[in-house]
Parts: sequence; C-alpha cells; structure tokens
Amino acid sequence: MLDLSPQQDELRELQRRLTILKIGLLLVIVLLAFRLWHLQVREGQYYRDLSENNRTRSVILEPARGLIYDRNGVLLANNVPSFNLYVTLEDVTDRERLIKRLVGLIGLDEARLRKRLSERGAKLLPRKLKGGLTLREAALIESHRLDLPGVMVQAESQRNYPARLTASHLLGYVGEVSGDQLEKPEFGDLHQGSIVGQYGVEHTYDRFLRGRAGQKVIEADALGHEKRTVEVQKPEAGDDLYLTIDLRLQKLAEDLLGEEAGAIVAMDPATGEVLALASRPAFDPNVLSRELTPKQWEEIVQDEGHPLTNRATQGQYPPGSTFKIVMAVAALETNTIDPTTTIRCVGSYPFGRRLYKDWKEGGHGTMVLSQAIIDSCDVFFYTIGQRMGIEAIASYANQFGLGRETGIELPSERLGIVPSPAWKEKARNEPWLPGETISASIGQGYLTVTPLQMTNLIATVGNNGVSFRPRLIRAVMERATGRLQELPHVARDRLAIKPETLALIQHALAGVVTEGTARRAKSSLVTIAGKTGTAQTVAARPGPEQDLPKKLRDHAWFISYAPTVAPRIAVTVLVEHMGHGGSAAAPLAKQLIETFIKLTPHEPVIAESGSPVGSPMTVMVQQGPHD
Amino acid sequence: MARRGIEAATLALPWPSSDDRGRKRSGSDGSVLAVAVVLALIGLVMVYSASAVVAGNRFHDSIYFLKRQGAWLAVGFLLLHVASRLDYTVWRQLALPILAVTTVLLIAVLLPSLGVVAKGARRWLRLGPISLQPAEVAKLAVVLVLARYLARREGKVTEASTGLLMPVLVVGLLGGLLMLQPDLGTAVVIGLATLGLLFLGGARLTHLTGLVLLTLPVGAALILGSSYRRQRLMTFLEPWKDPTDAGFQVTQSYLAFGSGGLFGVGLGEGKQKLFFLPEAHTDFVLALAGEELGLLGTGTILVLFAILVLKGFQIAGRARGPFGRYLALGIALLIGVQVLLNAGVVTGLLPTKGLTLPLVSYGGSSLVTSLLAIGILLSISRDRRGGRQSIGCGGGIRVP
Repeated sequence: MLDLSPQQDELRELQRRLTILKIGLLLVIVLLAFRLWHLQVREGQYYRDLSENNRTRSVILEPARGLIYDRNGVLLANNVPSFNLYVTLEDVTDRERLIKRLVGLIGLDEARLRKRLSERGAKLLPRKLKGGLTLREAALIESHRLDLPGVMVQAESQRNYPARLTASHLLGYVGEVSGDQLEKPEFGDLHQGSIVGQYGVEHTYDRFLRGRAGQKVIEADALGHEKRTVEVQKPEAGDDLYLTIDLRLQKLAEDLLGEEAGAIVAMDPATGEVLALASRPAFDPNVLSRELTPKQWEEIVQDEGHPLTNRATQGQYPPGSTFKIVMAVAALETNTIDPTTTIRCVGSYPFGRRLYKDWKEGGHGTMVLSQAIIDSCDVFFYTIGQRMGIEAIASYANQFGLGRETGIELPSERLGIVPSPAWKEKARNEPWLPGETISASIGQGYLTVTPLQMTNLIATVGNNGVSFRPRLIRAVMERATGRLQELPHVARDRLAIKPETLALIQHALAGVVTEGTARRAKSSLVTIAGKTGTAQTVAARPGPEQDLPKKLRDHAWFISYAPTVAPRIAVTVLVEHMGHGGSAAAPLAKQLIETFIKLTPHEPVIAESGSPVGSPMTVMVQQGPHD
Repeated sequence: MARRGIEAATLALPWPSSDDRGRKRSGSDGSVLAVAVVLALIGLVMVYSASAVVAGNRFHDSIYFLKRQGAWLAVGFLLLHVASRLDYTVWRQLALPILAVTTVLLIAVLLPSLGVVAKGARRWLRLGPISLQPAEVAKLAVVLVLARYLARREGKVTEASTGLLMPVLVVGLLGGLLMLQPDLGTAVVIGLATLGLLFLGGARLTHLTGLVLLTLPVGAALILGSSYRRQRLMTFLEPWKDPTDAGFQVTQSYLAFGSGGLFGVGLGEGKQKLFFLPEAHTDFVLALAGEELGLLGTGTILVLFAILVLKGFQIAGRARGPFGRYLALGIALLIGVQVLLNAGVVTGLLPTKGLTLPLVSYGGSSLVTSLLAIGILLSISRDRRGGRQSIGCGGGIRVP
C-alpha cells in the first residue's frame, strides 16, 4: 500500500470546502424560499388584487392593405382613414348601460350590438362594434368617454375604390374574415376582425394584399381607455398589385354598355392579358367593403339585375351564331366538307317532323363555307352539323376551351355547358334527340358559354391557334424588398388545327365585317375580323321580336379581333336582350377597338412570347403613398 | 505516481471487471435520472400551459411550442443515454477541442451574416430549421476544461500566478465573447460556477476574493456603460416606479406569483401568461408555475433541483479520479447556479438577465446541453469507488 496522505489531505480539504459551499447554497435557498413565501402567501392577497385590476391591454394594429393599380399605374384601390368603434369587455362594468348609451348616442342597431357583445372571444382583446364612424359619431363617443368604460375609437384604414362602380367585379371588395375562413390554413395569420378580400382580385390575390398585423400593448386607465403605450410591434403593409387592365378601355367598355345588362371583354391575344373586363349592372365596392346591415345586403342580393354576378366570367349564355366558328373548324378538320363543298339554303331545313328555319326568309341560295360564315347562314350549319354528329361538335368545342375553366384569376368562374349524349344522360337522365344536334349547330339549345370563354376562343383563332390563360395581374410590388415581381408566364396551348383551316376561317371572319352581318363594325382605322351572334332566350316566340317584352328578347353577341393580321386586341361584346348581334353588339366592339388603336398607336406588334417593348410597365415604378 | 496510476488504469480499463476489488462498476444513479425526468415533464406541461394561447393566436397551432419542446426532449434524452453509457473520461480528451469549437461558435454568432438577432441580442446561429445557442455549449465547455485543469494540477491551484492564470484567461475570453452578444446572464453563470469550482479545487480564499474584487469594477463599468443594463438595474431597484416599461416583466411576475398563493389557480388557468407575463414559457416559466401551481409547485421544483445538485455533489464524492470528481462538481454547480439566478430574477431578488430555468424552460439548446450534462453525471456515478461513500472516509484506495 502506498502512502496516500497528500491525497487524503486534499480530499479532506475538498470535503471541508464542499460543506462550506453547501451551507452557502442552503442559505441562498432559504432566502429564496422566504421570498417565494413572501410573494405567494404573505403578500399574495395584495398581488392577487393587483392582478385582477391588471391594466395592460393588447390592441391589434391592422396592416395597410396593398394598393391596386391598372397597367399604366392609375390607382384603382387604396386606403383612407376611418374611425372604428371597439370595446374591451373586461372593462365594461354595466353591459346594459353600455348598450343603452351606444344606441342612444350613435344609433347602433341594438340586436346586432347585443349579438356582438355576447360572441365568444377574449375578454381582454378589444372587439370591433362598428366600422366607418362619421367624424361626428367619433367625436360624440370621445366626448362621452367617461360614460363609456371599455369603449374606444381607433383610427384605422378603410378600403377605398376611387373609381367607384368602375371595374367593380374585377376588383371585388373586402370584408371581415368569416369564422369559416379563419378555420382554413391560408387564413392562419389572421385574427377575428381581420379584413380580407371577399371577391374579385381582392379575393384571389389576398395573400399578397393583406400584409401582416402588428400589436400594441397599452396601459389602460380605470375606464379601460388608453393611458400610455407600453410596446409597439408595427404592422407590415401588403404588396401592391399591377393589373393588366387599362382603366381607359375599362371605363369605355362600361360606358358602351350603359344601362344595359351585359359584358365586354378585351384581351391581348398574344399574351392573354385582359385589357378590360366589364360587367353591367355593377355594384359599388365601397359600399360592400363597409359593414352592411342585413337589409342592405338583402337588397343587393335580391336585385333582379344581379349586380354581384360578373357576367363576363359567370354569365352563361347560348353562343348563337358565334358558335359557327367552332362548327366550321370541326367540319373542315373532320373532312365532313372541304372549302369548295356547296350547300343550298332555301330558308329552312326539314328534319324529322320539324322545319328548322333560317334567320333569312327565303334563304341564302347556294353557298360554300366561307360565304356561309360571312352571311351566317343557318341552313348550311344545320346541314354540316347533322353530317358530323354531336360528338365531333362537342370535341371541337372542348378543344376551343368551352365547357371548362379559362383559369382567369377570379373566384367562382362558371364553365358553361358543352352538351353531348353522355352529358344529357348524366344531367337529365334522358337520351340525346337528333334534333338537338341541329340546335347545337347554331349555338342554341343546351349549349352555353361565358363571354370570357368566347374571348379566349376568338383570340385563339386570331392568334393562329395559340391560346393563353387569361391573366389579370402583370406584377406584384413586394413591400418587403421594394422589388417589382412580374408574375410567371402563363402556360399556353396550341390547337391541333391545320393552318389552312385557320386561314380560311380568319379570311371569312374578316369578310363578316367588310361584307357580312357585321358591316356596322367596319372601321376606317383598322381591319377587324369577327362573328356576330344572336342568342335566343326562348325557343318558341309568340310574335315579332320588337313586340316581345324585353326580358324575352334575344341576346346580342359579337366576338372579334383586330387588326386582321397579327391581332393586338380581341374583343367580346354581349348585350342582354338587345336583339341582333350585328346591330346591337358589333358597333360597340368597333368603338372599343378604335379607341384602343388610338390610345396605343405606336405599340409594336407583339411577338408570341415577349411583352411589348416600351410597354407602360416603366410608368408603374412610380410609387404612390400607401394611404 | 499513484494518482497517475489510477487514471491510467481507468483509461486502460474503462469497464472494469467485477473481480477488480474495490472498484466495482455499478449502475448509474437512478434517482438523478428520475429527478431529471420529473423536472423535464413539469417543464413540458408548463411550456404547453404558458404557450398554448399565444401559439394558437400566432401560429394557429396551440401545440406549436409543445411539439418543439417534445422533440428537443427526445433529442436530449437520447444524448443523455449515450453520455451515461460512454466512459466519461473521453470528455477529458475532448475538453480542449470542445473549447476551441465553442470559441469559434461564439465568434461566429457575432458576425451579422451568421448570428440571428432577437430581442436586441445576437445569440442564435441559424442552422437550417433549428437555431443553436452557442452560449449553452460554452457553459459545458468551461466546466470540462476546468475539471481537466484541476485534475491535472491538483494541489497546485494555490499558487496564484500559475494556478489561477489559465482558468481566469479561459473564462475571461469566453465571458468577454458572451458580453459582446450581449449575454450577461450566461457570463455570470459561468463566472460563479468557475469561482465555486476553484474554491473547491483548493484555491486560496484571498486569491478568490481578489479575483472577485477585480471583476467588480469591470462589471460596474459594463453596467453603467450600457444604457439598457443601467435601466435594468434601476428597474430592479425600483420596479413599481414605472410598472409598464422596463419593470413590466418583474411586476407582472409578482402578480403571477401572488395570484397563485399556496396552491395555485390551477393548471392552465393562469391569466398572466395571456398577455402580461412576457416569456412565460421561457425565462419566466417559474412565475407561471407560481401562478398555476402555487407555492406548492414552486417549492417542489426548487426541492427537485436541490436534490439534483446534492446528488451531483454526492456523485463527485464517490468518483474515483479527480477528473470525474471535478466534472461532477462543475455540472452540479452549473445547474445550481443557473437555477438560483433564474429564481432570483423572477422573484425580483436580482436584476433581469435573460436566463432559462434548466430542464424546465422552453428552448432547445438549453434543454439538450442540460440533459447531456446530466448524462455525463450519470456516467461518473457508474464509475464509483466501493466502500464508504464520502470523500475522506474512502480509506483504502487500492492500487494494483
């Protein structure tokens, strides 16, 4: 055994020092235990009382919503200051008294107020009672604040659409996030009372526009009113949107429709950028973005003109004779006829036990396909429709994008119907009748389309079979980086159609304007190609058109593009119950096209892929103030 | 030398056979593990209670923090298990490399391109989805280096110039880097643990007192030189003067403790955590425990920590070699000092510092390093001497 005494000594010394350390630690622990006892038990009641009266409150700071501009940087939507009324339930001593005072002071609806106050939610968080107080109301509340514990007026921003009814369907409107929406993950960073887009691009691009809320911790006085600010976490403003819309064309399109119900769509065929998307009657998004009373809401929803429906994307109409474009392509591509095949029109087409009439009494005589398009001869198309059969017709209609979404960035786009035996079996549980093929051949019967689908169709024809997804957004101005982000380019599609087929159709469509049913669209400024349509609303009519009540009259269609070579604009006009496409729709399209040519005379012809040189994007870098 | 002989034998035979008389290998200390598990589970429950509403509001996922804390617990206990199985003497070789890596990390976190700033301090290194707090690693590194140093120079730390120079330099360097973040809390924990360990290692009291006196002017200069620290000090001295600004946390903490009383308002029923008590799931978790579980709860937590520290001392006493002894003492001191400082802050006995309550508070780096340290403690407890269990009464240390 070795002599280990030095280590023994050291161990003993360590033991001694450890004991000292333990005693020291014990003293600290005793001190701590005493402190805890002091805080929790001896002074506990005092702190409990203080805690009950804890006077710090957290207030959410709403972010400024992103602005919306047209393609030239003209402001379409911004934010203006607004006074909103909040209450913190924790600070309300007498709820009945509060209700009475608020109803008396600024005439709040008592039932609604009661409901709002009894909704579930944190008692410590202010809840919004009313938005958009007038200056007078805000002043009234402020001057009675001693009477209104827990009540406060916050100056916040209110969405504002300076152009009022213009582009309302397109822009949409905003409103408080609903309970259902809050459950969804894409609304995860929102809270009760957050403002989100409920319609239009406000809805589709909400994730860019909404920004991020901040928070303010305040110290409240005995009445729950703000005494001082403790901590502020600033809100982040949303990103700005630049639309493809040209406000000048949009306004003109809406003026052209005037008091009539209908839709006008203008699109750049080479990019799919929508230049105008008008729908009448319209609504005022400023009204819808404020809080509506149930009565106001009812009035809007029950309006017979259906102002909330975007007729360009949600209105489904029979295409009438505009459908003959699809018929002509189908007939040539399926080799049902060739360009020289002649068919004789005697003014009617007997089939089964019925006589299908041409619109022209006495008929058009013998004609080839291109002449049948120019004169919109019904009998010619009855005949080729009968020869091709409904399956071939439906197949080409689908290829042209009918019966499916165009993919525009707007909510609730409607699809229309491309009827087929399978569809009828499924939807109506009835067999297909041969006569229904005859109706479909001139765009009547079950066939329905939206104006936007038809714009896409005519743009595809003008663009030599290449189609784009219609787009409404050119770029997003990212607030965080200050960078203008152009949105990724849109997938496109090339129709499997022979070039000579398209050339024949294009030639015939130009003839429609120069010598056919759309002579009233003929312009001295620019060559226009197009097709008229008159969509019947009822199959059997009791008398001459002009004697009918208006709601039974036909819808007028005109779909067009210009110039006839390398088109720069495609325009669809649909006017409800205005009769013939040639007289009621074509002149409107002509005006819109001429204005477009005058407004952008130097814009070079656009290549297939790129955006135009010297395009108005340079203007867009200019930044307006955010409010 | 006999001492070297023991160490050599330990290195050669990390898992001695049972016929090796007097050096029976035993199982690890079950009570230490049990206490650690209980504290970690209390932490998990309190983190959930503290953060559910906030996480629900902010992330729409009320178990956001709970999930993360649970994941870190799993990682931590895995490391604990591995460390307790591992022969702790490997840490002796790893001490200097770990110190080097820690120094690099502490420098890296100061670089604006690497360190993440949160709440005015640059404390986190972002590594993909997780963020690492180098300060937590630094605590362990200091203890490893000091244990290695004291074991090598046993009996010589009494010579001031040579004995204390190395520890003071190492701790000064790391402390300085920590102050640049700034992270005064961790620097103080490291400083106090070092003082304690040097004291136990036999340093002369006069030297230690001198050291403390030397750091006082440095500390005063730092406090008065930094407006936010000065404010924290003023707040500490008079928390009620301005209860809404800097004194906010502490007074809200008082309210939380006070509302709890003897038995608490009940788990999940705490009101302060909703908005008033900031960091309720991290630094101020003890205050929330005070509100929801009462004095009973806070007392239990403190008693559990006391058991943990005392067990650490006991394990040190039974350790065969000086390295294991000092390592166990260092780990116990580290935990003890941090618990006392955290408790001191939340009860208003000390100025606010930004320190977590080990094992209980939310935070991955803190949790994982604490559990790793306890794993090392368990490994030391396996390798205990036979016979009597306290230092100095060991009697027959037999050397082959």
